[in-house]
Amino acid sequence: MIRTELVKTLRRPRTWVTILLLNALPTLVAVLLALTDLGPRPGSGPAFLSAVLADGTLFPLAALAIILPLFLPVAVAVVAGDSVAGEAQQGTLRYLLVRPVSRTRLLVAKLVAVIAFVLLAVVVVAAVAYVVGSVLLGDQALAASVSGTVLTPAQVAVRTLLAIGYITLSMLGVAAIALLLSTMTDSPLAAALGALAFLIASSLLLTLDAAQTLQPYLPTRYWLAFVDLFRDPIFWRDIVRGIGLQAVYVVVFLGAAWANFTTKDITS
Amino acid sequence: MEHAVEVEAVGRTFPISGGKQLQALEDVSFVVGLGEVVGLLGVNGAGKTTLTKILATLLLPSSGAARVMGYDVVADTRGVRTSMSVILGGDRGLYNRISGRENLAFFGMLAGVSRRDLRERIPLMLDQVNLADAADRRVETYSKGMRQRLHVAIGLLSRPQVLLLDEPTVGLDPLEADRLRETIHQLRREGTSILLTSHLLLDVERLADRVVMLDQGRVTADLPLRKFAGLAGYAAVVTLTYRGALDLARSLPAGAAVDRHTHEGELSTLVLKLREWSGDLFGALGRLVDDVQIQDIDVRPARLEEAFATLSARRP
Repeated sequence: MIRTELVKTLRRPRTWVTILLLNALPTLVAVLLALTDLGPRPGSGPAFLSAVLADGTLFPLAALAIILPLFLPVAVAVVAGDSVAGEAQQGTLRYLLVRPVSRTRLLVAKLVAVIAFVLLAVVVVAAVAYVVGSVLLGDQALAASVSGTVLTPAQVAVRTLLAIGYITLSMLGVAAIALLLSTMTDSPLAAALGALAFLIASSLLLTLDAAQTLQPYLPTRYWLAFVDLFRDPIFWRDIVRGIGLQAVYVVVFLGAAWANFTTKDITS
Repeated sequence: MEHAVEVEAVGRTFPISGGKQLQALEDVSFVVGLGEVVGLLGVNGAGKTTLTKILATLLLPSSGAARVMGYDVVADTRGVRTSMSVILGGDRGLYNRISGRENLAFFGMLAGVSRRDLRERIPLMLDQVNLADAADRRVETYSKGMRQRLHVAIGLLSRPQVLLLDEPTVGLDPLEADRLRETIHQLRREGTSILLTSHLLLDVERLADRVVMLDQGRVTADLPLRKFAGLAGYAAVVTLTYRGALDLARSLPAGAAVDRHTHEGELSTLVLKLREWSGDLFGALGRLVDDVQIQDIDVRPARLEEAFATLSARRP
């Protein structure tokens, strides 16, 4: 079942079109930076954009920082929102559920496929950005940390992998919200938009002083904490908080999705 | 085990606006014997789809119990799903971007068919539903009838002991529909138990051994097919086309009722409904028409649809 869902995800043109589009904006940014050599001032614009002019190998992090606030969550919400609701809309859900496969197993297979998509998207964006950054912006092996010290290529590689893992986990929180909504409606669009509305509300509340008491619990609060992996030494506080918060979102929303899906009447 | 399907006092309610409950099924009980084909009839909203979905483990009953091959539809869904295939009709429910063969392989794998069996049975099923030539085309290129045939192939792939058929011939042309009916006959000969829901009473008439009629969520009839047809209120219909004059008021035999009597030029048409098949009654009819010139005569048993119409008309 899991293998089949993975194959379906990989064979779906939408998967690759989405990943292609996710790569489009960072690639355009790299081209513009290479042509103009004009980066944002340090501390302004997306993270790492000013640093990539010194070393193109940091561009994967800049690329992830570019797509993280909007494009990546949109892609994850669309894919996760479609996972169950898309089957219902297509009329295949009832045919899946009359086979001797438990609903829990089906939900797990859907979740694994979404995780695979998130991981694939993040890794492909990072890999493409590495190639684009190295070719267009140069590979000086002089990557400076956010703190100003120089990082070795090995340190950059390890921290980039940690950042990919952290961003993937952050997106699993989005996927869990969208998956819950996907079990509650027969419309993939409604599930995706519902998850995005949740995230937009979270981002909005993060800018509001009156919402300070809520802010530590908002799903988008620690998304950009992966930047702290590139401080010297690594500043773990927000990263740990981010991991804990996303774990809670994943457990709570997936638990709700499971409880809803396994007892749901299938009327589509 | 005597029964393939047992439905015991099943009820199902749905919440509707205003905090009220809609009673879709109420105290429904019947059985489908091993190797038996039972037709489930009822007008729209009678509860057929709700009952079918409860048996298919897609809906939970609010009360009562139902079992398929002895497996409870609530407590042992895996047993139910392993022993039963469901063909819900319509042309949705397939993966459009992959081929018919791949759809068969996917759903067969979910049904627990081994790879070896899949390799053997998929070509057989494709032949059986006449899709061998289109097997490797994407399903999005299939016509409605082809999709319906693919559903049938998927349903039969796992050699189910029980088959739940909902409107199986919808979308099929007459030849395809007849081919499917022959397939169902073959399944019955092989011992498959079938619960058949269809608006096409011809399907039920040709395939079912017994008929269960639902009305407003309750069972209003559960009878062998021939007895059910008798619920029409008559056993046979005789249509006479003749020249001459009949004195019906004086010589119409007891047990016969005039349904229609029309005249067109010299020809008259008389349609009679006979309460029973009996030699005496047909003898009396023979004497009735002694004095007229018969042009045509047609005698047929009461049809299922006439019983269905009679029963449906009795609704409060």
